[in-house]
Amino acid sequence: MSSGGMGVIKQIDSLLKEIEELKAIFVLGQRVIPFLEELFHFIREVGPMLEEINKSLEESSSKIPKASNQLDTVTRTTEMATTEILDTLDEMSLNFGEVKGLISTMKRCYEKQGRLAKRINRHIENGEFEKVKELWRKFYGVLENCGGFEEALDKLTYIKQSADNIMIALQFQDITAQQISAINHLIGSVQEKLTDLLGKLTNLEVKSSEQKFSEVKDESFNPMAQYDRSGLKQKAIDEIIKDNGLTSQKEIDRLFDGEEK
Amino acid sequence: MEDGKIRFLVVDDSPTMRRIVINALKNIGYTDIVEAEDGKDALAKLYAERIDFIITDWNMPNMGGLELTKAVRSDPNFANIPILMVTTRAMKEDVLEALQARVNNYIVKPFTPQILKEKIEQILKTL
Repeated sequence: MSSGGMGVIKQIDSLLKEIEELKAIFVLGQRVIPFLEELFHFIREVGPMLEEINKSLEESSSKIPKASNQLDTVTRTTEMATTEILDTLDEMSLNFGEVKGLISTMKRCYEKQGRLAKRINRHIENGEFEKVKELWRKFYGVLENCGGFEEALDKLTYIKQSADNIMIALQFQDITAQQISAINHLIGSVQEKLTDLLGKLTNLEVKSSEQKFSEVKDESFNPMAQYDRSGLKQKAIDEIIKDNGLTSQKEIDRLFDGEEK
Repeated sequence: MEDGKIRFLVVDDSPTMRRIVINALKNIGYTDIVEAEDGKDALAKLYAERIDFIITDWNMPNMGGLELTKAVRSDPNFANIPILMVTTRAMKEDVLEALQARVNNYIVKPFTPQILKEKIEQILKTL
């Protein structure tokens, strides 16, 4: 074969090779296109999902400090009430001690009077009236020094007041129970949100963002419950009632009947 | 009110609070007391026996104090029973909402037995 013929064959071989390569590219393209389509679809779906994840995490994480603050309030409330109860118990204990002291003194006094009364009785039976006179003076002196009743009664009144104060302070239990219920509600809502999010990630399907976490208004507790013994809140409430001029049910009825009309 | 003895219905989901209110009532001199743990229970007690005075908490499961007040006021058999709200809610809107539901008076927790006595007496005077 001439050298010219060999050159043409080489060129044809090279062309065929290039055509094969081109064919391979087309085959690859055919295979890649559905994958690329899937990728585009995935990116389109992931966009809103990432937005939703971000929103969910933001919402959930904003609830954590709130729950943490509520826990602080519970701790403070418990601390405050416990301190009040302990202070009151200290006072009660002190007053009980003093009352015990007063009663012991009174007891000694009456025992002394009892002994003197027995001696006076014996002298009367024996007709020794001079001795009776002398002992009577002693008896009377002892009687005058047998005080302490008033003081003991005052202290007992104070002890009763202290018991009432403990009763008031124990209302903190109801207040902290409501604060804890509020925390439970917050934790529950975070858990619900995260479970929802996890479900979405597992199924890899984007749900409508309208499907928001249900912010249930639970009436069984008051998240604003506070332990405040200043009496200022009650005063403010009394003022509101007074401002409305409400002294009787009829007046309350009249006020709101008027509003309805 | 029979034999001049007022029968109180104390409604609170917290047993501690019920005990505190009952204790305060007894200290004041009222001994005829019935208990209920929520609004629904209170309504059942109202239908079951004579009640002269209701002391209720606001926030309770099943049926709260406000709902109970509305239910009581809308029933001609019980509409005139005095209702005293004892609650932790202290916002102006809460007080007005309670008054609109026609509670007779309002006490914020924690309360003193003296406050409870004053409010009961204030209500009884107007009857």
